[in-house]
Amino acid sequence: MKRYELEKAVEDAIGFLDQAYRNIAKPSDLYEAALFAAAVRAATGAGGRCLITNDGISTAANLRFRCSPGNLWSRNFTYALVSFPNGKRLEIHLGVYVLAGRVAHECDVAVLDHSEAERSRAGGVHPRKGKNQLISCVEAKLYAASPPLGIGRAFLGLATELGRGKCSLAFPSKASKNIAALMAGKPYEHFDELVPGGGKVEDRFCHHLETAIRNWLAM
Amino acid sequence: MEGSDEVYDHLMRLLRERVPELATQLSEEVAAGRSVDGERLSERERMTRDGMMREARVGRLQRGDVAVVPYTADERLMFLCEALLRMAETLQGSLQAVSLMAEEHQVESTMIEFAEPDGTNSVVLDSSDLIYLTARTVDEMRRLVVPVNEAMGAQL
Repeated sequence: MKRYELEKAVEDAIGFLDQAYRNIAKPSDLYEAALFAAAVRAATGAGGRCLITNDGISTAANLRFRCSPGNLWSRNFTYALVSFPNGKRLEIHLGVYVLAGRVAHECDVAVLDHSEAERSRAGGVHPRKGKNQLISCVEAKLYAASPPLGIGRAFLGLATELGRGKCSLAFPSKASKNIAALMAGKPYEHFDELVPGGGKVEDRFCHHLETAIRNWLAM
Repeated sequence: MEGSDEVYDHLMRLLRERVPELATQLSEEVAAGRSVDGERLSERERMTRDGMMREARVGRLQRGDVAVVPYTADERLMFLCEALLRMAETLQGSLQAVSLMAEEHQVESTMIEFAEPDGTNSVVLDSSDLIYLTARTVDEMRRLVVPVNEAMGAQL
């Protein structure tokens, strides 16, 4: 391949990506929404029946997600209400605050016990992180090149606050050696190369969430 | 490849104008360089570094040392191509995953709205239109970028 051919090919590729990026307008939010969809898949895999809803009663007519963190009780945002054969129910939310100690932390995807979510809605109080309250949460980072170490450190801080083994970090790029070393041996999962739409990493991610849900079901 | 540095610089300038978030991500990774265990450095690199350390009278490379090796211009170009393709695949896969979930759970509309919690601002995407666009982007990206990566890979 000649130098000018290579240059032209990559220039054109940047042009195509630019067009898609502009049309999507909210790429990071879309990635978070895809992880929400993966969490719904995991809950269904654990035996749940899922209602995608904006009011807790009927199926949503259209999807409406938060594009920055908000309160769980703010109205008319889409969430998943999942019912299990043993009578337990959970909810999956995008971009809500969860309380750890006296600090409300943003969870990109939060899987919560339904009664904790009901309590949050009724009282206008943040859901809590207890083991029967927050089942799992996901921090999503739309990075096509490895996230810098600061992202890993911030995630570890959040994960420590929200409780051992509950948080996972997901991003599409391959993790650099540095960030992989930072995460190694910690009780928190990271899923690098998580490109939605199938593939082994997404399956592993769903399996991880499904296990957390099954463990909660057994409690 | 001869002139890789100039090509990379030119393409990064273009990327910074068009998709600045991705340009920042790449710059950060490239600036950080590649971490390599001291023991895994090439013989030549190891000897050079050992020599410099001896000269500075600070001993020599030891077990557990981690060195940083700057990426070559060809490697940086490969990174750029990989990141472009990865981003395109992620956008397409994300849109597809959300649309599929909506369809499986009887959400009628193909519109996906992203709104500020206070209702001040919102963006509505029509997934039925965008799926075609993003799929085409991925196809074009593969057509354009995969041969570049193969050409660069062959030279590394």
